[in-house]
Amino acid sequence: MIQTMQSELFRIRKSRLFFGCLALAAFFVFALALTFYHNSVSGMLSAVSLVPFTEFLFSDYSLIFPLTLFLCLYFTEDFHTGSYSMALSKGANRAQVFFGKLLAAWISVFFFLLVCFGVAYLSILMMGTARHDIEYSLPAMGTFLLIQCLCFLGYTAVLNLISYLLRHRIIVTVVAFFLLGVLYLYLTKISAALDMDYSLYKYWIVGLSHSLRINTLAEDFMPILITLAAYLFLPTVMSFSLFQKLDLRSLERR
Amino acid sequence: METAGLTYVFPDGNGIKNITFQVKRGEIYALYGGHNAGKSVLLQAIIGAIRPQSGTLKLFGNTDYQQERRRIGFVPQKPVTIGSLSPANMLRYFSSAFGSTESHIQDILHLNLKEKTAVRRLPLSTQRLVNLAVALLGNPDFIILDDPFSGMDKGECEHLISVLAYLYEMNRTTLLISGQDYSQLSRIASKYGVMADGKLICELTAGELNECCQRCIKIRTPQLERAITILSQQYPDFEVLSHDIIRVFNCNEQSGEINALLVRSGIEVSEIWLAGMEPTDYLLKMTGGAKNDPDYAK
Repeated sequence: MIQTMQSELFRIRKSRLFFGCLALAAFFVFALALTFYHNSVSGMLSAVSLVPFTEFLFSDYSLIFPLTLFLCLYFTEDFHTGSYSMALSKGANRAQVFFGKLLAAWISVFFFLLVCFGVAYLSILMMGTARHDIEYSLPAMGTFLLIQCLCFLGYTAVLNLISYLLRHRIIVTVVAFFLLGVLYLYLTKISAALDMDYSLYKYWIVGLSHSLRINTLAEDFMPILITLAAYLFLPTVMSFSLFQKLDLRSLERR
Repeated sequence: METAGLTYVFPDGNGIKNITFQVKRGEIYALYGGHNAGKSVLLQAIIGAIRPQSGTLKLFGNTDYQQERRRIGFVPQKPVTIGSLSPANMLRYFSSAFGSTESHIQDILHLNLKEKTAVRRLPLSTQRLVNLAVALLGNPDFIILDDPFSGMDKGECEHLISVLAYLYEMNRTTLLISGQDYSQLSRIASKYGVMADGKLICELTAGELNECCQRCIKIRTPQLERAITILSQQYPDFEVLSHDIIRVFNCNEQSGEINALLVRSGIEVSEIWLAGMEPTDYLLKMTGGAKNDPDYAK
């Protein structure tokens, strides 16, 4: 499993798609920082606060979109090229291949987020320190970012499951983006119609990431934790059991 | 390698059915068959890309074959390429995945590892050589090649054959090659397994195949013993096939003379015909791919 993970990390390191998506996300994050700074300045605030800025980074799908594109193509590439057969022919078992690939994806997602956070904070600090004070709370921001990272890892597991279910890269990518739009629209509408305290949308992992607020973290801690655990555990188990039975010739499902 | 009753049938009825065969150490075994014969499915079942619905598999005499798979190399029919990885990076990727050191086989394969172009942008033959180089990582004892000659021109086939011959001669590597081009397979194969409709129809060595295909004159006569006595004087190269059939070799142009000789000697010739065919035609006929041609041997 470690060998598979190492080789997958090498593959990601050499992937133009990964760096393309990372550059796109970094650009989006820079744009968010610029927007936040502009809002702060036009609001005539004396200080730029990093706590709302941290929330603002996840206020839209700027990080989700590029990551979805990369992960869908990454998880389905082996079906497209048929490279599973070569890995299996050399004695790697399916568990090693599955978890090696998933772990590599999780590590790369974590790296992706770290770079984006780095770009975001560097941008806002460079813009803000010249003329304004900077307010921040490291524990609150750290906890929030940690939960956000877990949300993204859960989302990675969901995309992994979709990829093993559908296998065809175009179909998987379209379905993933379709889900992002449809679940946002309908879950928020249903919750609003039912006047729910804890929105249904927050049970969807992307929704949880999107609507997470630092000041409500403590009171919603249990549902957040359950959602995260469910998204990390269930899709992984389901996709693993599916992967064990899959026909792993070079077949995209047609 | 040994399989017994290996079966994997797809919902549409294609697949492999009850395949039992053996590839011995140091053998070059060619799996011959047309499209949808089940060759690729069989190979994928051997390497573990699909799980057989029934049957057993032994690798290197071991039923617990997972570990033994490390001693196998596999070259798929459609070359595998990884993203935009160059040949050197692809080798590095797979050597890291397999935990094997990179072999120096690229010298034999004439692979340019300084090539920066992505493998998927290289010609098919180069892609296949890169896949062969991947298969050779860890110096396997057994290499499986799925239709390696498809889509390659004559020169590229020559090169591949010379590489495979080198591997066989230098390392005594056992090879299992599937394909439908007899002219290429026959250059290296020592044994053939003929597949059609997911079944292994027959197995025969290169010698047996040549013997089956040898051009000859077949004679059906109820007076076999007398015919033998007469033929042995002028045409000693003959073989008795059954109680009333004899075949004579190396005299394909003299069927009229043989017929006249036998008739003059008062031997009844019920039938006389030119038999035998090209191995390609013979195999095609076996797999149901040949046209009905009156010249084909019975």
